[in-house]
Amino acid sequence: MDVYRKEIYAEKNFGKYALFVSFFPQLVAGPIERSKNLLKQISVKHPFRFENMRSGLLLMLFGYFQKVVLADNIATLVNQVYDNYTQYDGTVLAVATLLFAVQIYCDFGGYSSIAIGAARIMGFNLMENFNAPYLANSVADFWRRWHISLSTWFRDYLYIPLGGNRKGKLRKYMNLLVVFITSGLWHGASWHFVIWGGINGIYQVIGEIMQPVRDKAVEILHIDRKNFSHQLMKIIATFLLINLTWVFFRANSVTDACTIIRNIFTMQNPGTLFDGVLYNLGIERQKFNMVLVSIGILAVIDICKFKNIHLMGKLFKQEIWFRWFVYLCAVFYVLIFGAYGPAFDAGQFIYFQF
Amino acid sequence: MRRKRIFRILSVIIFLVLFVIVYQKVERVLSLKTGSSRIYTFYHEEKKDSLDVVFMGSSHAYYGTHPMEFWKEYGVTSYVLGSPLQNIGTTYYLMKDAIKRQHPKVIAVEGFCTYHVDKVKSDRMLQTAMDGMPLSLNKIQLGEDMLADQFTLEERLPYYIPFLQYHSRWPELDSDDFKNGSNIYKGGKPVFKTRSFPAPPIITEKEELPENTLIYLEKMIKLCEENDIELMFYLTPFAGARDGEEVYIELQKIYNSLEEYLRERGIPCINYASLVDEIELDFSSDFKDIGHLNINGAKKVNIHLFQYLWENYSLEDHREEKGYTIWNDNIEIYDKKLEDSRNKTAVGKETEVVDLEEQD
Repeated sequence: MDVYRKEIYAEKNFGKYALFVSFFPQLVAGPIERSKNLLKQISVKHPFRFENMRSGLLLMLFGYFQKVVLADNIATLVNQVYDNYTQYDGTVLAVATLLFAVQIYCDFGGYSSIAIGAARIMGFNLMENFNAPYLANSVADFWRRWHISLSTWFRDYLYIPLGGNRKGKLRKYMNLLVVFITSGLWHGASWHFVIWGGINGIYQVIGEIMQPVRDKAVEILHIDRKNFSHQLMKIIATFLLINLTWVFFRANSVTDACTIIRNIFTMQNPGTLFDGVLYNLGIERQKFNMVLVSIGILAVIDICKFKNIHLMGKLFKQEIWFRWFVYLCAVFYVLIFGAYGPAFDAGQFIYFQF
Repeated sequence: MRRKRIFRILSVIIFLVLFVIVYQKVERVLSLKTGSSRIYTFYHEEKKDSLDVVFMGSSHAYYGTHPMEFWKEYGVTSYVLGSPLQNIGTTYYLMKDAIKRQHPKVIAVEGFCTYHVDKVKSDRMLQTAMDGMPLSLNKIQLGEDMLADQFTLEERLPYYIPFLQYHSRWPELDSDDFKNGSNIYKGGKPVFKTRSFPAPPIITEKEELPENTLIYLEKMIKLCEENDIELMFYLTPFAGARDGEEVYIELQKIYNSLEEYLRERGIPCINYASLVDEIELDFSSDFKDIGHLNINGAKKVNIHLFQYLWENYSLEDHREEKGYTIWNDNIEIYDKKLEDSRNKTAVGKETEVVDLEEQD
């Protein structure tokens, strides 16, 4: 395809092509890399560079933090709630849904970070795949920040060939819906994925249609669009809208998803937040709190990314004792709090003598 | 440019060393201490090549042997390298590994491990022994020999890399996890609790020794010969068996055969079941439970055992020697701890925790 579009030469060397297709850091779930980026890099020599190794390792570590500390610990809780959703109050379902948003981000994002980091150690530059997605201020913006390699792939190989936005508004809306429904199917051949994709498409169509209305409202109410509180409101609203779609993504069926959403809105008892139920959802109190702290760390890192603050660069400028201290803390944070290995079950070790 | 490269390589190495040091500390804090601390302190706190005698075996070894009494009476340094339900295979590999750290004149094995012939009666018990050992080829051989035919590699890995399993223990850490195991008792476990039993029957019949026992016995004998270490066995007495009289009888038959087998091989073996009268063992006051001696019973066995060791091997009295002051200083702490423990038991405050250490 890219060759046809003259974006890249045709690779005639089968070995190089095979390497491109099977490039291990990204083969399983990593960024979907285009030939014009990766294939060119394969032909170039990659001398070992200390800086690449250092930042690559740190990126991988961040990936493991996302994957084994956050995603895998949260998964225990989310599975417990979503697989037994009838037993839980709307508040618990809402908390589980919010946590699922973190889980799915950290799961995909973690894989991507590990892949990009591993590739960087070897001197390859893979494209960024997640750019602080939950700080997006609209659904369209979210899709520019979420699984970027997949979104742009769909854009370049489906949306644009379908005509994109060049053939009138109605056609554009249709194209958007088609792309997102296809994206749903790509994630899994099941109706709840299709609906998940569909809702995302509808969001954007509505967003486009409502654009003049919103512009008018801003004008009448004298809203400064750059204002922090306005931006914050948009970010929160986008996050909540996206969360609604995640219910369909995670639920085991469409009916389950509908019941869960209904219960979230009707069976609210905020008291549940305070009576300890949250500590009995598959992970104990300490782990739950650790997850909250970790989400805080993730939030700080993402906000820095959002504001274009280069944390890694700042760290590398520090004195050696500080850098090493941070490295060690980070490594042991992941090693200790990560969910891996055979579970330590105290009960397994209790021996009943009589 | 070249200097920079050398500096970088060096800094990576130093960082890795630092990492390994921190890793070992963190791993120990996170590890479950029950049952493994006496082996851990053997490796990490006993001065290298400072022990004259090493006692080995299961709980019968550490409930029934108190090295500090040996020191007080004869000035001989010793240690009980025991672990719950230690089977003879574990004893062999642990011995093989321990003699790299200590080169004792005598190794005295409490023989209950020879009855324990199943490769792994309880994998958790094997883990307590292995948790205390530093990673080494012997440790891996031990794990592979005991586990390879029943467990997948993935299941075996936590035995070699305890971190894999114990890292998830962090929510239940308490202050004890940050303390190093007490080294005062030198591996012994004195208990004052007393339960009364009638004297058990004396069994004289024999039963064929299990094949596994013979294999590892021979390996042990060879190992000690090669390393110029005297090997002996001792068998602490039982008041019966938890699982019924049949088990008790079977065990005594095995013990009788073991005694005979070792005599033929020229290895000393003291069976205290047949010395009950000589050491004046009292079944109404000398046991903590049906299979284990309390401190009263252990002292009676120890008087005989230590005298035997003193008379039959060229052991030295170190009490006046300079390098051993720590052992003398230890006596006071040891006596005080024993006294505290006795008082606690007297007022019934001794914690009745059914833990791994209660095991055979």
